[in-house]
Amino acid sequence: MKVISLGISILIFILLTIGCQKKLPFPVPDDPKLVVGGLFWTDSLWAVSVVSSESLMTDERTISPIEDASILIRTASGEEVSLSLDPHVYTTYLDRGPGLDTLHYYTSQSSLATPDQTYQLEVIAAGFEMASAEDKVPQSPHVVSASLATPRPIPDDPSQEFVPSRGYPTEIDLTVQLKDPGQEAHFYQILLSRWHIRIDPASGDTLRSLQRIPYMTDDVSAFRVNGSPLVDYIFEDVSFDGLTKSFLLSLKLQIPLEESSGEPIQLTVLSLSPSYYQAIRSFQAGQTGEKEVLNGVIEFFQEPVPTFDNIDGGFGIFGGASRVVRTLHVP
Amino acid sequence: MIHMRRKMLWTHLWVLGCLFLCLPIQIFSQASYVLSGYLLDQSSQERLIGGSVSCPALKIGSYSDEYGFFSLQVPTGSHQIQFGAPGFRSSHMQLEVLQDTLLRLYLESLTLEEVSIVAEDQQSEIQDVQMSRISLSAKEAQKMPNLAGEVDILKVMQLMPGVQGGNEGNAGLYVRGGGADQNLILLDGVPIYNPSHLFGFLSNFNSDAISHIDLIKGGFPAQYGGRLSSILDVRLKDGNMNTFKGVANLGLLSSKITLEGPFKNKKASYVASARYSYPDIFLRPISRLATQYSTDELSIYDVFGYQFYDVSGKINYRPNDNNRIQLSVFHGQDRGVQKGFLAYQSRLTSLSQEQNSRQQFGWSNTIGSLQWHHIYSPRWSSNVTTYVNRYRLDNQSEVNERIEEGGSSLQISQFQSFASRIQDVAAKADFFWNAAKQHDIRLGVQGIYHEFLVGRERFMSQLDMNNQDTVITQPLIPAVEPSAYIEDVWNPSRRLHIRLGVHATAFLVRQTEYYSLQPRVAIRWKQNDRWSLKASWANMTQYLHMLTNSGVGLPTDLWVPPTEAILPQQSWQAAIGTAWKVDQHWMFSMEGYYKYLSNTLEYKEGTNFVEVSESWESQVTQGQGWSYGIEALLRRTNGILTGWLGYTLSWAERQSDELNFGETYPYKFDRRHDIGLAVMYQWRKHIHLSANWAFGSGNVTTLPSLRYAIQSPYYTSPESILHYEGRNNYRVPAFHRLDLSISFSREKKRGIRVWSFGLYNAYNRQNPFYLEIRPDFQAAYSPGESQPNFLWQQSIFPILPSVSYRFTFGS
Repeated sequence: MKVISLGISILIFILLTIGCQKKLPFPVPDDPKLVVGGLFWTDSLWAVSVVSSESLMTDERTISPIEDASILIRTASGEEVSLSLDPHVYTTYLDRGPGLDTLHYYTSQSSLATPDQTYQLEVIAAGFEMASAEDKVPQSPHVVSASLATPRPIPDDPSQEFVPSRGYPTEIDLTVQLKDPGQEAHFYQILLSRWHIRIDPASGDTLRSLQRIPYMTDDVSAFRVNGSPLVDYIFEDVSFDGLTKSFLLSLKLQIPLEESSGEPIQLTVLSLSPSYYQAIRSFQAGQTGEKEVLNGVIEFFQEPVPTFDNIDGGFGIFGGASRVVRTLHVP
Repeated sequence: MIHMRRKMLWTHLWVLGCLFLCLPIQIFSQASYVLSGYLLDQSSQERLIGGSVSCPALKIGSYSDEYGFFSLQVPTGSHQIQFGAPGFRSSHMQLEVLQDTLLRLYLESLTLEEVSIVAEDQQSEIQDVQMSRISLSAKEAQKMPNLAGEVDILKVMQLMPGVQGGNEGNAGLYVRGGGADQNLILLDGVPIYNPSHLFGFLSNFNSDAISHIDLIKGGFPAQYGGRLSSILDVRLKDGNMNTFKGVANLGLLSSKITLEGPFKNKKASYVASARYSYPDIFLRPISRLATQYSTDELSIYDVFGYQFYDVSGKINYRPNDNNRIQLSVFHGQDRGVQKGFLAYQSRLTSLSQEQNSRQQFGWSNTIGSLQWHHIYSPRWSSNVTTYVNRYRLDNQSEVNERIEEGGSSLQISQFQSFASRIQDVAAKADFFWNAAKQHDIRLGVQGIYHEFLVGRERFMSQLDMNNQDTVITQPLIPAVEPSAYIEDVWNPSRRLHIRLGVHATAFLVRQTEYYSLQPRVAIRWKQNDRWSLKASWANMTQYLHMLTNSGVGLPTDLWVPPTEAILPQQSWQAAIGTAWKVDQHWMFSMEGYYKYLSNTLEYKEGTNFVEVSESWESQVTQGQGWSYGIEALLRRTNGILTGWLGYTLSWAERQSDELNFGETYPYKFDRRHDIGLAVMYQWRKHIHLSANWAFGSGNVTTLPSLRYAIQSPYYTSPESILHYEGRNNYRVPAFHRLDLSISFSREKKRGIRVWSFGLYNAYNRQNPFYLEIRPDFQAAYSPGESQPNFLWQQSIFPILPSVSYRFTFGS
């Protein structure tokens, strides 16, 4: 019986495996296109990354920078800003806008975007179709008030984030009051951060960097994809269009209560353009899920994330946000 | 919000009330008498569903309902009454009608020699006001080709126009652009939540235990509610009231037995059926063979096992002609296991490691119901049902590891489980009133108590002497779903029949209340005995949502209630069609439909459904959908050659503000062309041939088209982005498959034996199961050389021969 069973099993195994896989035609675009990374804030210098798109049909995963691009940003009034490649982008622009790193950036040294202005972007590079985009920077957010409540320790924190050398983290409530101008749809993002200081073991230098502080809110207008704690909330004005609204944010500091008094916390409130907002949403969705679709069984479990782009003739995003920054101190 | 819904409810009620009052109801005219009763199989006294009873001289007729009950109103006098049913020899009788009369009409089953006799079942499509209905008797289904010896009724239904299967091997139904969760699947009137075995390759329904199947795709009668897209009403056999009979079936995948017979002086009958599968016999050695790997130091293998079974039973008690009581039970269960083994012994040190892992998943459906059908008078009858049902999902994972080195050892154990369930207790009463010559009224009430346990998780770990045991149970959610309906089939003339009804429901869960009033209208215009036109309109509301993966049929179906944030799904569907009796053998019907769906549920972009059980509300989004199309069905219902050819041309689209940037996108089962061909041929007295061919345009799926790097607003390193042109942007290759079977029957001393030989996927078509993008691993590349990617299609069922043995015994 065992032999018969094994024989039939081998037969079925052969039937199930032979000829069950085949290649399919897959009409993907062959011509590379310009990919523009152009998220900008009103009080940041212009910084635009330009790379080439890559074929899905190659297994190489390299960034293909474009180093000979001509980039022009034009205002509605005809004013033009020309951007040039900056080789020192990593060290120079770390705190000057959305995090910048190893991409090659074209920057301007002096011009800043202003609220309520429409900007046009043109990127020309040899061998590529011209890429262009347009976005209007929203007005600065109207932060009516912002205040921190008395901090409290959280020894019963179920996430058990006990730091042996530092004790339990501290929880603080932050109330931010925003006034929405009404009429068209407005989008906001609230970021909280604090300065982190460390000593570089190699050079002995003191290094300062801004670190995001995660927070929670139960507000109905707050959104973050799949509730992931990895990303910051974004807010639509659907529930407070034209009104003033208070948002209660609960933030967690990785320092013990006794060390928290006087700790500076940087509150950044961004008013996002619709394109910026859409880009963040698709980035959030991409961040919270497994992106490894290639080179393996395609994700049965993962809903695909179409990435927002608003670049004509290419891919990427050109979107602006205006911001208000306040420094608050823990009572 | 609730106030607005209530206001709308009263508005709807007022409008419908006016409609009913405006009808020229002649309920109290008493110029005629009622003939009513049961249509029965003479050999077994089994009730016959969908049979016809007519008075040809008066050109009036009626059909037996899901209880085999019919009702017909005729004037005083002598009339010839004709009656018939699919697969039975038509009969007639002369009757002197002087008062309301209760009848028991018996029909003789057609024998093999009589297959060419013309039956009367074509008439129902012309006569009946119900459109978009597909009826199939168990006898017809048994003649179809099978998969490894199993005839699956859901797969047979997939060959009908307007009905699709998801992908290769999937027994799920996707009706007129709806989802698999939008079908109300009833087993003897009781909803069954997951009707699948073996990841959906087979359904729960054992074809030997079934008497009749009805699928309604549109123009829903008022008695049905709770789902948007279709009603699949499966009726189990009542059991033979005259004699003991049985049938045993041995197949490659499973075996089954059904026994039935009378007891209590032929006033009662029983039917019991069991099916047990044994893919384990093949799966275990195959999987071990395929995964085994060993070296001097390491030995690894995995073993996969799978089993399913189902049992059903029914006791049918008929104390007198006016009462019939039935007790039905059903239980079906699936269980899959993956066991892994790893042993490592270092050659250089004393380190040794042994690891045993076990993953188990499974689901089960359990149903019990008690029904009482009572005839108060030839004009009045009722059916009262109480039932309980439960769908349960269980997944477990366990790892035990032992590490030894230099005399010391470490023992690590981990256990994780996840369970989810939905449980209903319900009671319903349906009343049938033949009010007048022109009016058949049906009304009823139902109350369902639901209990949802969306998830219960348990984590246990043991590291030497340190134990941890954590149980996270989401709160049990109780909900109540009352409903009521009334429906009048009004026959203002012989040509015109109108069915007007309304189904009213509510759903009360936690602090949230939902109300819904669903008007239903169906109209039939019979031009002559061979041609009729039909139209219908139906509103439907579905309160329960199913969270499931959109890809393969993994056991992850979670049923969840509506909440304050997640609204019930709703739809309306308009359909128009015609039925034409071409001649004594051929029947042609054609329908066009348009369906609008609102509050459809989809996972948000980026969601991983494996992790959705906890905060499922935040991971889904609602939208809307449209589907429209044309369906044509040419059917040969009698003769030595029977079968059908169905064709569907359809479109199905979805839109959600949170998906695809708000743009409309094709639904994942948007299939432009769909063809189903079934042919059954009685070649010789004892040789039966059958074939079916299915063709469907490819489904759609979402594939990236290129990739690029761009700065993320969240991280300091650039993101590698896969760029998707849009949701469901790629149409996979078309699906087509031919199945063949031949059966040889022979009468033996104690019964009839049938050998069946089948070929599933006879021309070995590689149909898409899933797609992946990866390099060609078989191709040779130099070290460091870039490997190009390709789009690969994975198929699962090549040509599969099968053999089964069936023996029918008993007198």
